[in-house]
Amino acid sequence: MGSEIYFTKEHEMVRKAIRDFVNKEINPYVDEWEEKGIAPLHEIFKKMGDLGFLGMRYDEKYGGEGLDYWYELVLLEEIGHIRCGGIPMAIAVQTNMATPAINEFGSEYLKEKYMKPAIKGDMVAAIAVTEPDAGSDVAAIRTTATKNGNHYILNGSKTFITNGTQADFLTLLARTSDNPGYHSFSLFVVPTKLPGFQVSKKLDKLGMRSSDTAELYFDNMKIPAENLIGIEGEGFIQQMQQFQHERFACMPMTYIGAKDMIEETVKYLRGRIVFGKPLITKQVLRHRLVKWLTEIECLKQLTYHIVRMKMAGQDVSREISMGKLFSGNLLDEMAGGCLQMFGGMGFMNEMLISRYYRDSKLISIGGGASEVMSDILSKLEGF
Amino acid sequence: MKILVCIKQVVCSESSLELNPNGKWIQETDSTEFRMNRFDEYALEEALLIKEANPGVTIDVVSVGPNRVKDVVKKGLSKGADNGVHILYEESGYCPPRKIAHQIAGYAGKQSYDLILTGVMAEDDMLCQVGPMTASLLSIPCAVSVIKEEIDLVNRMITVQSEMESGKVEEVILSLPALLTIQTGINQPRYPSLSNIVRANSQELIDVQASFQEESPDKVTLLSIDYPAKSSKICILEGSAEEKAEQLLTIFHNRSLLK
Repeated sequence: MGSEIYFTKEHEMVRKAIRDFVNKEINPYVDEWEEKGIAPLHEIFKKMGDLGFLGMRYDEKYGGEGLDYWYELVLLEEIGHIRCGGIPMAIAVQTNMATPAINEFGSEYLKEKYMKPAIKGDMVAAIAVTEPDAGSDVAAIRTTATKNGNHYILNGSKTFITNGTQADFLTLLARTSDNPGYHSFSLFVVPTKLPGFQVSKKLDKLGMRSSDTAELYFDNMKIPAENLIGIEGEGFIQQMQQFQHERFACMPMTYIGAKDMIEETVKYLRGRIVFGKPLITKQVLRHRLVKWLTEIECLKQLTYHIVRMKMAGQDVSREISMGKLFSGNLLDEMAGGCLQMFGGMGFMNEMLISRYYRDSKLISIGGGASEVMSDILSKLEGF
Repeated sequence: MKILVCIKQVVCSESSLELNPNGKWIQETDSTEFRMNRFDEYALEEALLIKEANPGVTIDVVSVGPNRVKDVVKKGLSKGADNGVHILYEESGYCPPRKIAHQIAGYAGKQSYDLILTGVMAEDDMLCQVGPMTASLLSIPCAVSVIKEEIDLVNRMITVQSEMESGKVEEVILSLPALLTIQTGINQPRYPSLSNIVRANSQELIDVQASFQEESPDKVTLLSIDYPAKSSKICILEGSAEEKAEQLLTIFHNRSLLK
């Protein structure tokens, strides 16, 4: 309700096109991909790239559509309707996690050679920041990139890398200096076909099962110096900015997925008769459902507020951190709560609610855990 | 080369439908959803494939009807057509094929199209008549249920294969200009691309007022339409599990549900 205040007819046409695509080209195959533990990203991204879905905000010069943040929001909302978390996450890695830094700080060469094919869907991208000993504590990363003539030599490992077994290139954060402080890191575009790169293993996860997640290993891997994104030593700052796009992407996917979860639950409660009456007639359940719907609406409105701020060129770090924190907390509470309403059926893998439950957990962990969001906000508030 | 693709806006069959009070068509409400006739999507896709294979081809899409049909014209643009034509025909509800063909022929006759394509039929009335009637009014050759076509622009000929009963295929050569009704399965209709959606929304349509001159009186009158009679019935199988399975297999076999 009220969406016409924010979205024009043009936005709605785009929404319809993405929705049709999701309903015909993605949702019918989700169960199969969840079962296999991987989705054919090259095939999916090629189709999406041909239709212009992977480069909405990017310059037309690189195959993008040159559209505004509202269009990006339409995409994120519609992929939120995909009946799992793994595929929307894989898409968001391509659009909001691994390419924004190339777009904002990368050279013309990097934009032409990597961003353009990523927008076209010819290349699959991944973001490689997390390491076995450095997760939300990004500054603790140990992977090194040592300058040697026209190359950097990469050594180390990365873990929990979404799209990791299929990626054609990684946007990777590595240490380029032993000095303490934030200016010792740099961002690189790392093509995975170069010698010295290895997928150590494909990881088995609680949820997001259709998304391949990998541990990667770099052994004296030579990367051309021109693959440095922006200026050496500025990678940490660049990645913190790139994280804002990633964390923002969590918000629409959360409120759309959460709303779908409520609808799925209400449908079940209407049909489930207990003690002679449908479960939906129980006040305690109805009240919990509307409490979550209220929180979903709040998150949506915060997201719309952020888009307006972005359109006005304002800094949105505080609001995005709040939105990411809120998303994780909401899903942690309501995914379990909805599953509980399904009773024993909710515990069965055949039920969509069990998938929602498994997939939802990542929102409060990935892309900066809820605790990290709280720390960021505490610092911004001055305590 | 200029191609005209005729597209019809139909009611979404997935939405819940009710007949209007006089029982002669669907009751239109604010929540009634419409979309492009799926058969016409194949015709448009075929035009787009011809355009991709032959430089210099332009595609116009045309739809006849009230203002709401502009949406399918825009949809045609968003799939890649160059120009959209809306023939404003205020009559909502059932419209006989003859009247639609008259409007399309009236417009197309002044535009010198080399090729006119339509879907093989409309999803709502399934009459398959607008295409052949338009060809007849324009005095151009027509082939129906086309599953393949090959254009010879130099000699201004088109060779087409048409689907016939029992899988037979008829091959004919037509001189251009010609009209083809396109069968489903000939191609895979594309999704609208984002850049075309944006272009479609800002592009002005060519608005044409319906012409009522020379329109001959209807020779067919719609009397009524009805809901389908309820035909499903429950059959409860008796016996042991094996006996029930045997009975079920017999039922499947008798209804040709098993190959």
